[in-house]
Amino acid sequence: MEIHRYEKIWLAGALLLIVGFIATISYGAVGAGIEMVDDDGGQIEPNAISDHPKFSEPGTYKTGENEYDVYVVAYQFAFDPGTSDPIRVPANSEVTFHITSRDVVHGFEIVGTNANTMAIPGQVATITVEFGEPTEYGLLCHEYCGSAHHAMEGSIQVVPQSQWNESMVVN
Amino acid sequence: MATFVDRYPDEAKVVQASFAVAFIALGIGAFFGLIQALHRTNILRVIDSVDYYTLLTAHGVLLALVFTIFFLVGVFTWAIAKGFERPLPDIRLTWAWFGLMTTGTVLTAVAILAGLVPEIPMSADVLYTFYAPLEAHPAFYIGLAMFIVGTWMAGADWFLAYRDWRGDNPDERIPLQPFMVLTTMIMWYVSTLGVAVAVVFFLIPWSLGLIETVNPLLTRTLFWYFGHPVVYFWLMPAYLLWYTVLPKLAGGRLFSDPLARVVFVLFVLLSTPVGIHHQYVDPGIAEGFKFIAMTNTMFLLLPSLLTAFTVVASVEHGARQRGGEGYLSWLGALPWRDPAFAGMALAGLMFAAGGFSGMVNAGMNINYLVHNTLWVPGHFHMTVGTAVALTMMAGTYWLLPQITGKTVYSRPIGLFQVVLWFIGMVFMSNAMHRGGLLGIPRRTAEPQYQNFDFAAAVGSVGEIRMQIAFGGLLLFLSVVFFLFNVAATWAEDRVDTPVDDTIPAPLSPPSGAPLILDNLALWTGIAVVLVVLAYTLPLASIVTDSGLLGSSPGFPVAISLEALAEAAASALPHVSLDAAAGLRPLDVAAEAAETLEVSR
Amino acid sequence: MRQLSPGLFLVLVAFTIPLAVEFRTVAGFFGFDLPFISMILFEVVLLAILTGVYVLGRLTPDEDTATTS
Repeated sequence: MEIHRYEKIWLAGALLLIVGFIATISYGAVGAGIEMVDDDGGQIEPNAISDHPKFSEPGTYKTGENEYDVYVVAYQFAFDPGTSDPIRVPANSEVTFHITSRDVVHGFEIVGTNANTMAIPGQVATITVEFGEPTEYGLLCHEYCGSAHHAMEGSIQVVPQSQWNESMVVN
Repeated sequence: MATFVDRYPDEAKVVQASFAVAFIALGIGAFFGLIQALHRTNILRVIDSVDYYTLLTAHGVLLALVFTIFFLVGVFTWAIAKGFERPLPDIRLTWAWFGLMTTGTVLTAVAILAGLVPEIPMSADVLYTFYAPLEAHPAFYIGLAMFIVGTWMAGADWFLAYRDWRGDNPDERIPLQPFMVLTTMIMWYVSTLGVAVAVVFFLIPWSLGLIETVNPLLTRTLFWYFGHPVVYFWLMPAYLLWYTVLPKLAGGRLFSDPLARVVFVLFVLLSTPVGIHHQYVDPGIAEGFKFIAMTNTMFLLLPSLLTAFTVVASVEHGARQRGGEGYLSWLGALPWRDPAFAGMALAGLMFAAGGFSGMVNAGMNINYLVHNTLWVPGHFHMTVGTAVALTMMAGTYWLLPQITGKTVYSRPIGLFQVVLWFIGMVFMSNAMHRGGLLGIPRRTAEPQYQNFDFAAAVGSVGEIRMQIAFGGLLLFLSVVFFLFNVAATWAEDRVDTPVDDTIPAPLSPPSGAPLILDNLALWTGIAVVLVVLAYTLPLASIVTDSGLLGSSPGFPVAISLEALAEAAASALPHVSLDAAAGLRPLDVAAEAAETLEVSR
Repeated sequence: MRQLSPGLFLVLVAFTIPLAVEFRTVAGFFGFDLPFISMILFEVVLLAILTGVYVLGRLTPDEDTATTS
């Protein structure tokens, strides 16, 4: 098959671009350590969330020095915690969110950041994020979940270490 | 000189009917799009926010599935008859698939639009992705299944035409346009298998109450198994027009026939084993599978980059035939006054921009920033909403005369209309991308929240909203002009030569292409192997984890009274939030209550 | 002056819009926060230049380029 010289140059450039993209993404995964949401969170029975040791009492759990787990249950049309009570985490901490849904598919996005995952009934999504200075973030559901989807929102309070106390954790 | 309608009057009728359905869907869908653009930007709210999702479902289904695919079956029927230079084997089969597709469409559309009428106990506000366990009326799923089966029969019709042609021409190369049709349909058969299994084995029995529960991650994964190749299904008729018609309109001929075949074969191979890239942030799917989908997706850039070269080279050749000179000034020698050419050229240009924003989506880790934000609809309004839709509208100005025997009513209106689409999309899509970067979500009636505001880096959120609304208005006007022009063309009188419908032979003829490229069975086999490799393990692990039928019963989109009270109560931000927030909750609660009242 | 066809003129007008819309973003990268009105002014300037070229091309058709449709 006859391939014109310019076509060959273009083809080589295109392949270089593709390999370059894959290389930068691989670097992001391996070098910069950006992990994908995967199957680590395991499964949960969506109709029996109240039997789960942690999701039955969702909220912030301390797991180590400056390390916390936050369990969040999404449902039509709120996050628990998050909506009626804000999610509270201490400043300068590493927090792993465990998110599931007890009804339909929801989304979980911390506004203005790249903390973003799906909440799928039967599955537990885990994402680990680092919080810095004390501030407040918005929280929203980004997957259509029913007729009041637009009302599904909440907030995350990053509390100064000095004001952080035991009442803010569940265990 | 006779044109298509004179040579193949029966086929021309089917193409006309397909186009008519496509354009009706376009008009309704575009109108709903305008209402949404004005609603979510809070400029004009003529509907209730609950009905927003009904219109959004209709907008997605009518434009992304009905308009594109009905136009596609029209173009493909035209390409098969014209390319093989023979009528279709049995016109009754052709009308049968058209009838089945149309019936399915009507059934689905009724199920969706009944959501606007509270008296009718039917609802399908599940958007065009219909993620379970949000449940739609069974008619929605049954209509979709009929529509898909209709497209399968259409493919069978075209393959039968190929068999007949092959019988008479045992040693000839498959003509280029039918080659594109057949490869596209192979891709379609492989990829629709996923959605067919999801709908027929799980969603229809579940919505009818025959099975209690579904596995949401399984049906979701099966949907995306189909959900990415479907975008290539929309794109392939546009590619067919760019490869075979655009160079001719530019005054020249296709640069390379063999390379065009390579591109379509690459789409057969790579379109399907990439769907998991829509599920980068889904739990329950291991990172390795996502990485495989990512690499496949990146290699899928190759056929589009090759297309960019071949199409631009062909257009440049055309411009030089017309007397164009210099490195760039040949661009001025192109027939910009021709709406068919200008529309396709603008569509191709915007596809380049849309392709780059797609590369961002495909970047697994950067996708965290844009997943399910307004960036995503910004992206696909450039690709399916412009590369495909604008090419189809532009192509209409060249195809409609051939299938009706009538000249285009007004070429200036046509040119104005395609340019207006481009401008409208620049405003809307650009603003959507930027809104997405700020975290504004997609698929939301009111992205105006009580607990927080979105912060813009340059400009303001208000400007972004204005641009979206303004762009949406221009796009709607463009569709109005288009439909007027089409209707006026249809009302004209028949003439002898409505348009020059010859397609010149490519510069590099098909004889230069290796014979293996025409071996459709081989490419089908490899495509199936790649799909099996990419999907067996993820699907097996999803089924092992949560069971084939899972444990999610159906949930209605509109919720009960108790849930109303709960949603209203939970909308109250906590008292310890800053004092200013203290005043807002009542509004939210009242609003939520209002919303839900209507939904009952 | 090269003569622009009305069709090409319209297409070029369309191209000025993304330039004008993103003009402010580019300025933002370099630390200049321009007001909204600057976008409109920039668009007006671009349109004025284009119109100038178009009109001049019509007034002084120095060679026979009318074949460009």
